Amino acid sequence: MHELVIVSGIIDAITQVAERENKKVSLVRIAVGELASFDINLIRELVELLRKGTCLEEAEVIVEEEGAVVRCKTCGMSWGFKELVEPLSEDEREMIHFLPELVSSFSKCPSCGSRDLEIESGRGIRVSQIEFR
Amino acid sequence: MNLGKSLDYREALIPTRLSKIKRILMVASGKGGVGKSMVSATIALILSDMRYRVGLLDLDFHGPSSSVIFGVSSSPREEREGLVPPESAGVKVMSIDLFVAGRPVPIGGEEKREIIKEILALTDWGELDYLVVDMPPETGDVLLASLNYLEGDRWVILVTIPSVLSHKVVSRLIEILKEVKVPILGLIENMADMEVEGKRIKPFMGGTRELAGMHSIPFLGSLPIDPDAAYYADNGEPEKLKKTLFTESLREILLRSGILI
Ligand SMILES: Nc1ncnc2c1ncn2[C@@H]1O[C@H](COP(=O)(O)OP(=O)(O)OP(=O)(O)O)[C@@H](O)[C@H]1O
Ligand SMILES: [Mg+2]
Ligand SMILES: [Zn+2]
Repeated sequence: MHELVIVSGIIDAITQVAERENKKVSLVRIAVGELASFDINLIRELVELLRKGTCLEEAEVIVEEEGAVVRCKTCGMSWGFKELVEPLSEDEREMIHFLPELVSSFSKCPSCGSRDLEIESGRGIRVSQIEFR
Repeated sequence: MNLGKSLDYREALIPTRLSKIKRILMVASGKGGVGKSMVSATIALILSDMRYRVGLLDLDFHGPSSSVIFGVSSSPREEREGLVPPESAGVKVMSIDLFVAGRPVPIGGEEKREIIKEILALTDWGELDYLVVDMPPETGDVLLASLNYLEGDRWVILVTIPSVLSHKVVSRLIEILKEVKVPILGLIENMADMEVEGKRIKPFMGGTRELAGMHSIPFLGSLPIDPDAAYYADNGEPEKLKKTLFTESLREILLRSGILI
């Protein structure tokens, strides 16, 4: 359940920016990276729960999944969740859930076998857009 | 608008985590293999023995060390407040190795910085008197990023062995630390001497006290080569490691250093 910590961290970070800008938040888009296997419905519920009484109370909040793209730096091929994470055991996926960069420790490029992998998108949870009014 | 790092949840969480920690001791050496992990782990043990609340954070990606010395293998527990580190000999131990269990971590500097940030943001240490950090072995960007995140009442403890190469690398590290204005508690000389047939001999050239003087930083003291300590460290027996000459020498150094709260 470290989702709770992450969502409260996101709301804190947004609050700090809104206070610094001295503006009201009108829209926030939160991208939930596929690589870390978050339960997107849980993230949505937590956002609904925790936004009450914060600067996000009246904002439009969109929580959406961001597909994973991982590029092999050796052969240049790109891979997704299906090739790199799905075949792993539950324990291994759990470690990538905490630290997505560990995909290089648990998986390798299905084409050339290299572990020199670079996450291009869909790493963890991030704020992809914010609008003020 | 430009989001930059200002909307990174980790940047919001890290200061809250660190605000519950009274003092951070960062053990660094620049060069590998000089006993940085052994010194970090033993400092944590000594402080815990003195009834302080202690955490040990291993940021060294080069294979297992803290987790081996403390004999912990269970992965951190996922709780409402974050990841709870396993405990051994009274010390809460968090290490990258607890996630990868001995697997290599073939990643570059940028990925290492992400992992360090994530671990600092997610680890729930609770209230601590001391967090001892086994710092990344590099003198480059990973080390600088770690220094950047680890804010608070923090002190660097430098470890070197009395050899030309180790002195060179630690000198470079001292320059870097001075540039970024991180306070240095002082320099510890590891593997200073050893017992051979009842006599103490010095296998290396020495000169660490003079090196500290040259850089105007305190010389904290010397630690002996102690095969028993190495054995207990390599075999995950922290309670026995506590009772060695190595630990006794380090305890005296800590008591003299003025770092105790
Ligand atoms: N004073 C000592 N007496 C005997 N053995 C020691 C001493 N200090 C360190 N060692 C041994 O030397 C080896 C290297 O020590 P350690 O792992 O602590 O170094 P390190 O600086 O953390 O190295 P690395 O770069 O691998 O992280 C270990 O096997 C350790 O047990
Ligand atoms: Mg080490
Ligand atoms: Zn490849």
